[in-house]
Amino acid sequence: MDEQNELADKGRTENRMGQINRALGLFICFFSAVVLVSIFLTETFVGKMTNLVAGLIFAVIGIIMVVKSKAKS
Amino acid sequence: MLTGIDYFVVISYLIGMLLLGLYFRKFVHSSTDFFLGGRMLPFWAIGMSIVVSDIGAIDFVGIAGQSYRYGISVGNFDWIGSVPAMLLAAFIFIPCFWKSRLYTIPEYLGRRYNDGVRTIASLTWIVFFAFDLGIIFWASAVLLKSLMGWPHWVSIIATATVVGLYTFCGGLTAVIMTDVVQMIIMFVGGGAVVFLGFFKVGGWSGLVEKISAMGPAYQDHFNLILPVDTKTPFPWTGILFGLTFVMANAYMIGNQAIVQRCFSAKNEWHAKASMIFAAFLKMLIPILVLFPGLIAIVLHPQLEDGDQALPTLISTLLPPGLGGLMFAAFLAGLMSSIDSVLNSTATLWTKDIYEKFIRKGASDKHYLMVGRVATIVLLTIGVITSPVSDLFPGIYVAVQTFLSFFQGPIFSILLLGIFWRRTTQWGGLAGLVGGMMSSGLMYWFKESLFTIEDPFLYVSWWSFVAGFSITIVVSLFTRSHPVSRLYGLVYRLKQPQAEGTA
Repeated sequence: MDEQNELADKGRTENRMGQINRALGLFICFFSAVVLVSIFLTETFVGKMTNLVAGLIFAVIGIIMVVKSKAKS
Repeated sequence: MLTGIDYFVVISYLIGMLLLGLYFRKFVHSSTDFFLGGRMLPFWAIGMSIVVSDIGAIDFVGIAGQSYRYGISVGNFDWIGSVPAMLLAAFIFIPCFWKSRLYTIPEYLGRRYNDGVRTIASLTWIVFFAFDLGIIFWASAVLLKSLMGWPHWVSIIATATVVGLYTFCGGLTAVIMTDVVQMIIMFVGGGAVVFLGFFKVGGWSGLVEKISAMGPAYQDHFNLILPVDTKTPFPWTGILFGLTFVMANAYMIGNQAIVQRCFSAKNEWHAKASMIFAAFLKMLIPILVLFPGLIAIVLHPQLEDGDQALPTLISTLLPPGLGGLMFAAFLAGLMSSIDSVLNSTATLWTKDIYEKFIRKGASDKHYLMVGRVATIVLLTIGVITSPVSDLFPGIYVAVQTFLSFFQGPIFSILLLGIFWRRTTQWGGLAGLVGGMMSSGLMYWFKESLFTIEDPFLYVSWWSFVAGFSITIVVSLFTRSHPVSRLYGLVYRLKQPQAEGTA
């Protein structure tokens, strides 16, 4: 019985973390898109490259969080 | 100043953070969910949250400001002044606290000593956090005025409204998970500021060359260790004794806002790992906070206030989009510091004062409601007290000065309580009160006792010594608790297993 409760608790925790990861991942992906779009509004080459690199870093982190959340839930 | 896309990013970010906070409301069903995130959080999220709560935007702004004024010696706060203490916390203190299933650090002091010690420690932290809130609000106002030209009071009230809603709903889960987003954005944006700054000043050698050529006022800017007679608040003696031995340990081991996060871990392994992961991230912080201050000396040498160094760099160096996001992350970092303090203070008030003295044995829903009401009351106090921080030359010094009043004495009784079985309840009480009184006396006579302007590091050290000595002396003359009461509260003192059990 205890083992069953423990498993149920573990499942609930995993599910909750999955939902949290998905929310955070989508949020970060949204900002990655904004930073990538703003490349077109940047005048200097260095500025464009900075936005590109930063946007890609955000995108990778956001996508990893969303994918992980699917695996958990 | 910010461009159109930057304003879009800032507003979206704030609305998004608010929505995230509201979304996390669905995970708050009990007081444990509100105060400790349901004790189910993973180490990586807690570790990131510890770093963001510790450095937050107040430190990004404040340390960059100190670096602008005094140079790299302020970096000691994040290296020697943090990492050893975090490792000590991870391996010795956190496991002990976690096993005791605590909500607050004063709760440990209450079990180890008596309710008097618990109440004094708790009330002291509550008062400190209330003033600290004011300081953080002021920092957000400095940031907003620099970038958007908003008057101080408009910024403070706007920040308080957003953060109040968000903390009220989401509890510690919202606080920790929004910290994760903030940390990612702060690291990426901070890295971009440093990269672009170096690009502009001609790299590290260009930076050193240009600052060194600015005259004798900048001769110590590249010295990590400063002499005893320096006019800055960071002489090496203060750094070693006050910071490394006392303030760092007291902060990482005895600060409710930091340690409460570890209590929310899903098991002991995650609790320990969270602090170790935070220590790793902390080692990278000086790169992100010191260099912008130094770069600003070259690019903006005429700033009236050093605390404007970083906001000015963000607005002049970062490209559209990332600049707005970085600014929003700093603003949200300030909000994160506010909601961390709010949540911790609400926990202290509810668990150590309300539940203990005002209403025992009420339902869990009642304590959840008390925690939420406390959040709103504290927010109001923070707004009202915010102009006090304007009396100090730098935001960072203001926080450290407040902390130095009581961190040494609290750390001394925590240290003796966990490592010396003979420490008694009266020793702990006398050490705490005596140590705090010694801090007050040192500030009262600071002109004749110290040669530096802000002697908070020395005050921390000597108040620790006073608290430590008084606790030992009084303990030797009073009776200690029976050993059976100390199991789980003293390091390596374990209850003997009954015969026949494995």
